Amino acid sequence: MTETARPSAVTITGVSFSYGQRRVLEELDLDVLQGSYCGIVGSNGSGKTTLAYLIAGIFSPCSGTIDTHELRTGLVLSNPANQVVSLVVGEDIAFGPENMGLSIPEITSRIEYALDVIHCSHLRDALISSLSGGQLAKIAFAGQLALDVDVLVLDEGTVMLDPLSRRTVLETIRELNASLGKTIIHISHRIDDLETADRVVVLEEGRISRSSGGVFELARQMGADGIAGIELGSRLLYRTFLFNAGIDEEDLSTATQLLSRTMQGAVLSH
Amino acid sequence: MDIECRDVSFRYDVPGGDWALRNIDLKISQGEKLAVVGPAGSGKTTLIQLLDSLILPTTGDILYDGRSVKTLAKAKNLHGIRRRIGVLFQFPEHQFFQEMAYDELVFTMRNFLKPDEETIEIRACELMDGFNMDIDVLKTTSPFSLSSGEKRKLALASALMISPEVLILDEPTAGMDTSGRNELMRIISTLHDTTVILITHNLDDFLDHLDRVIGLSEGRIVCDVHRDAMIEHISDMENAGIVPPLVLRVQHWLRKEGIRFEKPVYSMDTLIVCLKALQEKKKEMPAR
Repeated sequence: MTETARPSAVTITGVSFSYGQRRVLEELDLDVLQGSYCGIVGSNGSGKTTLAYLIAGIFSPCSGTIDTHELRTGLVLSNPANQVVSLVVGEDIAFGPENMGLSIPEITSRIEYALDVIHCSHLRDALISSLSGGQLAKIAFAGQLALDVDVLVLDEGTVMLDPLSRRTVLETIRELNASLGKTIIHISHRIDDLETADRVVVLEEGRISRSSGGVFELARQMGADGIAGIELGSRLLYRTFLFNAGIDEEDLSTATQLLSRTMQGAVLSH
Repeated sequence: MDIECRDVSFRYDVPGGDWALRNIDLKISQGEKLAVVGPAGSGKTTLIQLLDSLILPTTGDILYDGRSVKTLAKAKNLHGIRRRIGVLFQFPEHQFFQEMAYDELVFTMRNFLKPDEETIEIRACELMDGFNMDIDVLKTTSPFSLSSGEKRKLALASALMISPEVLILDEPTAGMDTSGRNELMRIISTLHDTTVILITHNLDDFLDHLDRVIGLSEGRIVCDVHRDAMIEHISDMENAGIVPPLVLRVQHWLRKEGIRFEKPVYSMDTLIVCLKALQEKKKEMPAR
């Protein structure tokens, strides 16, 4: 299927939103195609969480329209503690499927699937109160996996995770998108979370200020000046440097080996 | 204030609760800057709750300038310790309870030190200038309506209002954008005499400001290494399930290829500048 033939998953047209007198979004337009992975970056207070709530249908826009084309939308909140509703992990993940009216065997299989994906099967009977912040973030993510939604919105879904858990969650998101065709809308202020996004847009002063084909294109657009409030992160900084040095290699250990060959013999004076 | 953990273990009092921390021996000297890293569930948050005496060791003891936390608890005298320690928790909204953000900001100072309102406001203005937040806006805004990064800044500023001797930060940059993060780094770099203990998954962010890194895994200390020695311990850290900062891993890989800097570099920006300089030098070298 070509890009142009893909139908839209989320169409946002002229959406404005205010908290009382405080205007957060200003006539925002955004079209996210089905099966795409759209990253949204922006500084603190730029309206990222508000936009996530609007797409998930928790808030209604003050003006403008949001059309999710009858697709089912799930949301992972930046603070997972706001998302859990039960005392026990397994029961919490079952909450969504139960409310969808699914059969017990189907609910059981979804719990097992969701916990397996995030490598947390051992936590099925654990008390929510006994979990660490990072574990809680993974359970909130599993809750959305069990819902099998069409569009998954992640609001800073990795901020509480340790590097290995973060990698697991990012790989799962990539898998959900690439293999199962789920539409991903991933909101972050760390654009290195969005390396596999096929499009990255920048939210600035309540509007989409720029759109690019991916993080590397955005990194090159940002140049040395950067864009206020958005950082590349160590990995993307280094990968961009390597790319500019003619090395396009995802494994950074191998890439460093290649880089070193271009330098051997130079005198070190740092 | 010097802090010493002596064979500290802790178990949560819940059915089937396992040991969250086991046999922790740790000495932290006044003014040290250290990071505690480790996978989810390794006991990081439990450790800082112990250090702040919010919970007491199940076994073992913690000494504050030589005074036992258990003795202080029996004498109901823990407030004296807590007053000297500022904490920014992982979920800042859990520590908010005031109607307006400004009252949240000044709560600790107002109640612990009881100065006049003018002194409080001068201190608040001084702090919030650095955080790029407007005091007048905070006076009319609920802390719960702030964005997640702003909530974190408010909670941190609230802890700093009383100039604590020990500052404990649990994931301080999670959800913070670059400007907030830079402000945080600037503030940490000014706290020369303050002990800073931070829990983070982003060691890369803090490496420039640290003396030492403690790695936790399954409730035990698996590495305790000075920053300058970390490159030599990259493999040990990885084997213990700790992901070392990329900037050090790159230098570790470069060393394997025979490229070694005189001193380790702790920020990726600086490392890239050094690498570019090396590339330029190589270009200038006459072809053999």
